[in-house]
Amino acid sequence: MIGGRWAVSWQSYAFAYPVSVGFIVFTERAFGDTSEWLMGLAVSTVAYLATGGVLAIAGATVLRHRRETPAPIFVVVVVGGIAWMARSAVLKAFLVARDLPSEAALSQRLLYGFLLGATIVPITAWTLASFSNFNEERRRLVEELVHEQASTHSLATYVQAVREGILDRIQAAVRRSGGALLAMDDGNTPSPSEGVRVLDALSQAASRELSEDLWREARKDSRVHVTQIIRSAVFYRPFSYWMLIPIVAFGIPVLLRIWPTQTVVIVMLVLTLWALCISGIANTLVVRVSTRTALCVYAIAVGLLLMSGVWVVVFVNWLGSQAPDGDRLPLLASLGFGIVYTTGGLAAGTATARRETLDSLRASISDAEIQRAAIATEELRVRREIATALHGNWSGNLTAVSMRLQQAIDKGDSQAANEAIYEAKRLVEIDMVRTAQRDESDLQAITNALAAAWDGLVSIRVHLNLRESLSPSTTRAAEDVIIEGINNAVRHADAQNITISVEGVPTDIEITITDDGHSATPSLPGLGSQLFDSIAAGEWSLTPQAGGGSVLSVRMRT
Amino acid sequence: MELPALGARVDHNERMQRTRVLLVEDNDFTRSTMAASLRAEDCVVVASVSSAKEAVVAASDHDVDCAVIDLHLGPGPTGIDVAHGLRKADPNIGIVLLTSYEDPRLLSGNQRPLPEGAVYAVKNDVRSTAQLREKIDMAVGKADRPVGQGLGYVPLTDTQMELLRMVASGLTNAEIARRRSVTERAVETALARILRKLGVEADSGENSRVLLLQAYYQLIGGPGGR
Repeated sequence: MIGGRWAVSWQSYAFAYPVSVGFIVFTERAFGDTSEWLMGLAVSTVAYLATGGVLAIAGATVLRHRRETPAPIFVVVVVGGIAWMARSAVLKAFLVARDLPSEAALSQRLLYGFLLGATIVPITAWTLASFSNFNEERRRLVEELVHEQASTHSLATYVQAVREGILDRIQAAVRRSGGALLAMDDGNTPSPSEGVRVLDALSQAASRELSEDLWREARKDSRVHVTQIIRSAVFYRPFSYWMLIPIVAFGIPVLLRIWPTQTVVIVMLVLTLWALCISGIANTLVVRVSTRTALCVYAIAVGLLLMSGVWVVVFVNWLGSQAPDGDRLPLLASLGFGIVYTTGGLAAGTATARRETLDSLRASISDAEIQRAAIATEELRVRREIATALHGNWSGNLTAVSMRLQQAIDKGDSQAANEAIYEAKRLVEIDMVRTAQRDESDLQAITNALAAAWDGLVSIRVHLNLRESLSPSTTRAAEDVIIEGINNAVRHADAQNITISVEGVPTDIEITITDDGHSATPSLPGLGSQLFDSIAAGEWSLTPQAGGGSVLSVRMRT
Repeated sequence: MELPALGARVDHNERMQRTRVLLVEDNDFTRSTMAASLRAEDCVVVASVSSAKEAVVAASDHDVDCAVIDLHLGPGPTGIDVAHGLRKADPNIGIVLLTSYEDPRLLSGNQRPLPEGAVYAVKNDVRSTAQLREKIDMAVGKADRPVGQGLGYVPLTDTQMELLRMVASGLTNAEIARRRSVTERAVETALARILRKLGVEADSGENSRVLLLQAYYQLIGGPGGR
C-alpha cells in the first residue's frame, strides 16, 4: 500500500515536474543548444500536461478512493507508467512534426517512459506520504506532551490570566462596535428603525470580530512549521543509503546515452563512494553533537553532495571521456543526484514505522515548544468556552432586544421602542461577557450544582469524601462520569432517586452512582461504555440491585 | 421566577381563545424579553421560569397549553428532559423546543427522542414573534405542521455527531481514537467524511479540524462562518 491520497495529487505532480523537464531538456539532442532550452521547457511542459491528464483520469477512476484507503502499489506503478508513456508520446509527436533530431524509436520511448513513470510516481507518492505521516506523528506527539503539560497546576494560573485578558479584549471590541449606540443622546433618541439598523450592525460586527479573532488564532496555532519537521528528521538519520539503489539503477541507462559504458560505470562508482562517505560521516555526527551543530553538519553534507559533479568532471576529464556538451551535463546530472539523494534521505528518515524514529522524534521536540503549545491549547480552549458563553448570553440577548424593537415599530409603540434601545445600550455597557468563573477543581460544588439542576425531575443526593483537592483534569473526568451516570439513570432507567458517592483513596477516586430505575438487565449505551473504558481503564462495573435499580461503580486514577 | 401575568381573573371564554404558555429559559434577559413578546402576540404567559424544578411546579400550579423550552439549560437536564418531565404530569401539554442547535444531538448524545408532537424550532429560522406563535399553534394543534418540519435534524449519524462533539470539546484525534478503541487513521477518515456530508471543502492550506469546528459552531447558531 502506498501513499494514500498522495498516490495522485497535485503536490506529487508538481514535485516530479522538474524531473520531467530536466530529462527532456538535458537528454534530448534537439534541445542540446542553450538557445533551444526555452523551446525544450515549453515542449516538456506540454508533454507533462499529458501526464497530468492521465493521472487526473486515474484519480477519478481506479484511484478515486485513495483518500480513504492507501492505493495498492502495483496500481500506482501502472498508472505512473502509463502517465509518463503519454508524455513520451507527445514528445515524440512534437519532434517528428518539427523534423527535429529524434534517435529513439516510438516503441523505445514508450517503454522508457513507462519505466520512468513507474518509478517516479510511486517514489514521489511515498516521499510525500512519509513527510505527511511524519508531520502527523509529530503533531500527535506534541499533543500528547501538551496534554501532560496542561494537567499541571502550574498552567492553571496562566490560564486564568489568559481568560481575564481575552475577556477584556472582547469587551473592548464590543464597546468599539457599539460606539454608534453609545453615542446616542438620551434627549434626542433616534427613530426605532435606525435603532434596529444599529443593533443589527452591532451584532454582525461583534460576531465577525469574535469569529475572525478566534479562528485566526486557532489556525495559526495548529500548524507545524516545516523547519520543525526537517529538524526532527535530521536529528535521527538524515541520509538513507538505500536511496542509492534506485538512483544508480535509474541513472545508468540515462548516462549510457551520453557516455561510453566504462565512463558510466566509473562515474557511478565515484558518485556512490562520494555519497556513502559524506552521508556516513553526517549520519554518525548528527546524533553525537548539539542540535545547532547537527544542523550545520547536515547543511555542509548537503552542499558537498550537490557539488559531487566536481568529482564527476574531474574523473571524466581524466578518463578522456568528456561529454559532447562539455562539463555542463555532468554538473547538472550530479546536481540532480544530490537533490534526489538528499530529499529521499529525509523522506526515508521520516518513515515513522520504526520505533527508534519515534523515540528520537520525541526527544527532538524541545520543552519550550511543548510549553508554547500547551499554552496555545489552553488559550484556544478558553477562547472556545468564552465564544460559546458569549453566543449563549450576549448575542442571544441582542437578538431578543432586536425582536422587541421591531415589534415596537410594527405596533407604533414609541415607549416600548425607547425601552428596547435603552436595554441595548445597557447590554453594550454592562459587563455581560463575564462568564461564571467556576473553580475547575471543586468537584463538590460541581456535583451539587448538577443535583440542583436536576431537582424537580429526579432527586439526587451527593456524598463526597476527598482527602485533597483534585487536579482540573481529574475533576473534569469525574464530572464526565457523573454526568453520564445521571443521564443514563434518568433517560434509560427512568430513575426517580439517585445517590452519588465519591471516595478518595491514596492514588484513586471511586465514584458510585446508585439509582432506583427499572432496568432489569442494566447496560450502558455504547458511547457511555466507551467513556468509562477510556477514563477508568477497565475498572468500572454496572450491577443490578436485588430490590430494583442499579449501581454504577467507576474507579479512576487521580 | 416571574409572577403569572394573569391569574384567576381570566374568564373562561378568554382562556379558550388565548394560548396559555409556560416559558422555560435559563437566561434572565432572554426570558423576560420573550415573555413580553409572547404577550404582545396574544398569548398568556402563565409563568416564565429558569429551571426544571420551577417548570414542574409551575405546570402543576397552572393550566398550561404549551411549554416553550430552551434546549440548553446549562449543566444538568436538557430541555428534552424537562419536556418529558412535563409530559409525565400532563400528557396533553404542547411542547416547543426553541433553540439555536440545528439538531439536539449537537448538544449531547445519549438523549431521549423528542416527546410525541413536540415542535423543534431553530432560532435562526424564527425571524419574528409571529413565527414563534405559529410554532406554538402547531404544538397545541391549532395549526397544521408541514411534513418533516419541526423535527430538528442534521444529516449525520449518531456516531458522526458524537465525533463532532468530541472534536468541539477539544479532544485530539489520538484521544478520540483511544476513547473509541479505533485507530487514528479511522478517526481522520471519519472526520473527513463528516466534513463532506456537511458540504465543507478543505483547501490544502486550511486546517480541516478548524473547519469542522466552524461547521459545528454554525450548526449551534454561533459565530465562525467562513
